[in-house]
Amino acid sequence: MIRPRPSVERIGFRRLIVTLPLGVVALSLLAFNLPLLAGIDPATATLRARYSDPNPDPAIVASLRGELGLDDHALVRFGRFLLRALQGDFGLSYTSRLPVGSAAWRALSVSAQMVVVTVALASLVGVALGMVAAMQRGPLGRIASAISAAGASLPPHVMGPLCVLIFGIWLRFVPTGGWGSVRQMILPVVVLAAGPIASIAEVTRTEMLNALPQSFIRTARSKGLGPSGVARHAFAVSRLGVLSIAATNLAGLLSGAVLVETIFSLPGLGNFIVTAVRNGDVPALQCGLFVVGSISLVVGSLADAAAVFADPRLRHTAR
Amino acid sequence: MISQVRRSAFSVRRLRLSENRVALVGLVGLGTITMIAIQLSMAGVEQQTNLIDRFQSPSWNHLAGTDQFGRDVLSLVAAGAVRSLSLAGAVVIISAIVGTCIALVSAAGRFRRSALVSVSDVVLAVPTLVVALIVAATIGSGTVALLAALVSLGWTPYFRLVLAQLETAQQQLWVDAAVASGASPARVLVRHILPNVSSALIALIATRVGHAVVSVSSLSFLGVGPQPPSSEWGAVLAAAQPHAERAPWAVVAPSLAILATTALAMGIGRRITARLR
Repeated sequence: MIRPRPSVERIGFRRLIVTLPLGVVALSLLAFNLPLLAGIDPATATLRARYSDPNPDPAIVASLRGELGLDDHALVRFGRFLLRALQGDFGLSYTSRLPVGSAAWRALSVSAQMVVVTVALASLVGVALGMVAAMQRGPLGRIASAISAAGASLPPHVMGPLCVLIFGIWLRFVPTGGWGSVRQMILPVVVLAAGPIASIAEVTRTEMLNALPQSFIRTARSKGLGPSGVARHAFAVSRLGVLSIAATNLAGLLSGAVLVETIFSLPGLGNFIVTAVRNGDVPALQCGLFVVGSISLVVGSLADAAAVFADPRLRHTAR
Repeated sequence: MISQVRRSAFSVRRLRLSENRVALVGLVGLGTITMIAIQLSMAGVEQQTNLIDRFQSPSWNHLAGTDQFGRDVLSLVAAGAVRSLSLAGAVVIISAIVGTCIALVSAAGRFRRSALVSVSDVVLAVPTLVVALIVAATIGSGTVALLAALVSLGWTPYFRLVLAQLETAQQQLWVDAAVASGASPARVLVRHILPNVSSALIALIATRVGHAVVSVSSLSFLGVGPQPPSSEWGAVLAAAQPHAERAPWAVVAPSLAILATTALAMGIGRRITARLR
């Protein structure tokens, strides 16, 4: 897979200043227009959900339209939607009739736990694998390369069911679903981490191979540094590439989380969205779209800005 | 002097030809796989359900066993190859066309360029699968909705590649020559510059096929696009997963199919990009 390597001028604050606001506005426009795309009238849909009546009385529909402000100008409605969205208010679910925002908030905590653990695991294992692949020419390096290549071609919805089958059903090492205990976390986190591990390892390896022939490594070696010291020196210039690939991966990680949560039936945000898809619950979809999209935009921009500080050489050029 | 110029022009053309040839080989290879897949699925698929033969383990009659509907898993997966690969191919080709058109539009003007690059930044920063899932589910759960959602999020890599290539090409002397000989900007873009971009574009298309197979199958796994009676790999996988204990082969076979396809597409793509460098 080709990932365009961000050029130096693209990295940094451009995303924080341009992409982030533009992205949030674009996302909320899309979320705002979901009922239109779905071809439903929010007032009718709300009444249907509330009273389980397929054909609500037109008079009541009209009065609810007025109450919800659906007859206002589109710009007014969008402004109201955006304000409420920023406060986490997306209205009531069509199925549970409870506030969507608080349900999403509860689900978010599960997803956040999983994603944070996954990012930590993927960075540690990925960087380690990449270093071994770059510095060891023997079988050890080849094994490291093979592991990352395998991870790259195993999407979560393939690896997940296979892992459930092997480790959950046949070997009975771990439970096949649920969330809370450490044992229940193992499989989801490993499945979710496989892709990021592969790409982080690949980037680390390439960056290390670029760094190792440089003269400051020779200096470090001639000062008598051992392999681990050399690795530390070489990694100092590789951090930028690794960090930016980790930031690019975050969007993919959130996508993967949806699959993993569905496979292992975890009560996270991904499951929340998939359930909303199955039920046609438009307020929940609006909420899911806004929350997941904004998180990925915010974290992505922050990571890009942080990349400036990760590479000592960029500190001087970026200012 | 003249002969020297002629020779260099000839060698440039020969280089371009060989680049295209490599790309062509990849494309023909993928096309052949698709054709074989169609042949296989035509040869012996019984997509008919047969409730007496449910959950049969692999035997000579059913080499990969049967699933919860009593369908032969091997022929199901073969038929799924047609569905998955044609959908993935459609996603890739339509996205490539859309991305190229947007790049052509944005290469023509400075303001449009920076605006469209910002838009592509946003699209790249957003989790594709989540947005595609929500958008496709709202439009309707059919194949067209799936295509629309994936194309509207998948044009960015092609856009970036073509834009970058266009910008390097614009600085070339032969572009000045074409302009000097009176060609309109549109003609220069489409007839002179675009053909030079094509080989890199074809390489990217080849690399993205594996990615598209994954996107399509994961969306249908989640309940958007082709759904369980369908033989699309993601749909087969989703339907088989609850019965994994009784019929593990119905989980393993489509997984291996997705795995093999992505690995193959990745390998072909990597080979082509390596050759082009």
